[in-house]
Amino acid sequence: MKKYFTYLTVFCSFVLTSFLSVEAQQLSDDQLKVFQSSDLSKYNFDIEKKSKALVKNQEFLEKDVAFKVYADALLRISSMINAGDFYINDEISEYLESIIQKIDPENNPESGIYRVLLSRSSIPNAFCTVDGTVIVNIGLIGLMQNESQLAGVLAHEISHFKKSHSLKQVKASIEDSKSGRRAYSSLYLSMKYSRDSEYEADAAGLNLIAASPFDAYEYSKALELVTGKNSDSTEIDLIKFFKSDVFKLDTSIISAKEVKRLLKKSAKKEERTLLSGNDEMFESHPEGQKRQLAAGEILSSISYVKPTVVSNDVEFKRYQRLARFEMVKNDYFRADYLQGLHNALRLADIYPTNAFAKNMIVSNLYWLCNLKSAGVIDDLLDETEIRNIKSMAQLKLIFEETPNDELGKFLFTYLKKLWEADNTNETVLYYLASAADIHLGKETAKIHYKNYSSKFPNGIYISSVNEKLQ
Amino acid sequence: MRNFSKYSLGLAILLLFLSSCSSSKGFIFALHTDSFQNKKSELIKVICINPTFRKFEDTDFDDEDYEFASKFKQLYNSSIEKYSKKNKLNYEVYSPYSEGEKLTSYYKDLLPLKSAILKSLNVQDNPMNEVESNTYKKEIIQKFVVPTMLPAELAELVGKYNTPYFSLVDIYTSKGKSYLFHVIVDLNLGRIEYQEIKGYSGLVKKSEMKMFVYDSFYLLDKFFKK
Repeated sequence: MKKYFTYLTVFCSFVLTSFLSVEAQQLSDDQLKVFQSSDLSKYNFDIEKKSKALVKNQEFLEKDVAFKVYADALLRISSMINAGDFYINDEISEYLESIIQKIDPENNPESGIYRVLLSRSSIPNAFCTVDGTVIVNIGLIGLMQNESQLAGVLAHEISHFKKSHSLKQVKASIEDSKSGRRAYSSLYLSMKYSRDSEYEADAAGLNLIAASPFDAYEYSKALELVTGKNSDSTEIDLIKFFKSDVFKLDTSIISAKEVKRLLKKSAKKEERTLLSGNDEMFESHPEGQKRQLAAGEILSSISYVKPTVVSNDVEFKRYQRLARFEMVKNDYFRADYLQGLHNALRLADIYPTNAFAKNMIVSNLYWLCNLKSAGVIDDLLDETEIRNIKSMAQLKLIFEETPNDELGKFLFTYLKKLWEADNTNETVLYYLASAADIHLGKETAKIHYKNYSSKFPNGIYISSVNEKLQ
Repeated sequence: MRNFSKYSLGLAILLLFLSSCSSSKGFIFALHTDSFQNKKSELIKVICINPTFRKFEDTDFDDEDYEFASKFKQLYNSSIEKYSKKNKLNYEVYSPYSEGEKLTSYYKDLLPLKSAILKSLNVQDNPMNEVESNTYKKEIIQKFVVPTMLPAELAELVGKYNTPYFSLVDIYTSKGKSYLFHVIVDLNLGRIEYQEIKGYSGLVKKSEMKMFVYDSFYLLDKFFKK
């Protein structure tokens, strides 16, 4: 009997250990790996030296003008690096470089034509600058559904570089205006290509993809996703979130007419610059559907046959998951609370039991209500990109139109309900106390802060809580 | 008569002083706030993240002149270390000009932190976010409208750098108007502890830059002696 008991104990501990290691594995899966490589040359480079080297390999511009173009581009990139806009030595950049390796056979570690910089922006976007730097926003990886779609977008962008579209446009601009530096400077900022250049990059990109292990038919779907035409991948059900059995926020303010107006206004917004991080991919692409049709025609003309073994999507799925978590983290860290709330709600839809997603909903929601009650939410709401996403327009309207008191009441009730359902989540308790501060005053808040202090004496918010209790 | 001439002389000096103030370039406003409750001894060490000098073509602060700014970078970094030491403040600068471990730490930890601080300042109601404002004012306010908060997860850096205090000392300059700001955050509390923003009516050149850096550390030092 004792022997069986021992076997049972060993078996149970084995099951428990396996379970815990799976949990640990899942936790580490949500962390983006940063390589401890000391090689930082990709981020810390000599602009003059690099510009001089690039000038030798181009034939479109006079040497002094070309030097200024490259130096200006590299200075801008360097400025973005120094503003913390990019990840440093991360695993996703390395993965993206491996995809480009497969797309463009001319590119290899020795030639080093391209270098990838992964931007922290959650707006789905990518572009290739004049020096061959491929800037990919983390939001693009979170949105794409498979590796072939991602490869299609990258192929399009590097085709702009291969066809020297930027340099040709600089040349045309200088010839037109004769205004020297100003001409290429403003051109670089707008990052717009002519319609013809877009079609040319599509065709060249599709030819590259057709010769690679990726599925070229996926490029059309990628276009659909990036332009926000595929609502399944971007929309969330806000009514479900704001209508609880305890409290009902007046969702009638999300009138269809107003939502339509906001979407229209967002589509018209053209002044998006590279440095503000508001640039939108394909903003010069009003003819999304035509381009999809043209892509189909190009593939038929080359008698394209989908490869029998398409690239392995297991690796892609891991990076897609990581990207989705990073997007939400970045939105919050960079105080983009409206986008952060929208992305966190979407994350919670995809991974319903994930604690991080729940905490991010709480944190972003709290900060939006706090900014509303401080009367400074307008600038934040104006700066948020709606990008053809109906539920983003609805969310914006809710925070614009709902009175402070109603939002405060909603926040407090929502957090109280969460805390009652799970009284082990310190983030929920901390924000419950902070929400009480907004909605019910300092004395009520103190009750919750005291509760936090006794339950989580070593919690991550303890310094703040202790200070508030003093 | 004797009294009258004494007063008129005083008045003339005052008028002369006021007219020289209004005609010359200078600070158009100076805002300063803090929530430090501790004394200077608590400010053991401040990690200063890549002091940045940015020059713009005009007061819209859109088109950046990198060539002009690049000439200032090294001098700006060294001025911060020099004048902080002069005012007995321990500022350690981490930037792309750092070497070895310090350079790696700058890219891995401090750049994302700088980005988070800058973005959180964006939602604050302060003159930096109201660049079109032209009002001539000089005042000291106790609190900015929104208490800026940083994510609690950033507190991880406190142990690694042996201090909760991290700072930005940046200058944005253009021909018409310039802004100079100095911010210290406490990562244990996840908020801005000290903030100084100055508006300057003109282009910041080398002498003005040195003056701002010195003045800013002098003010910080004085603040602890209050």
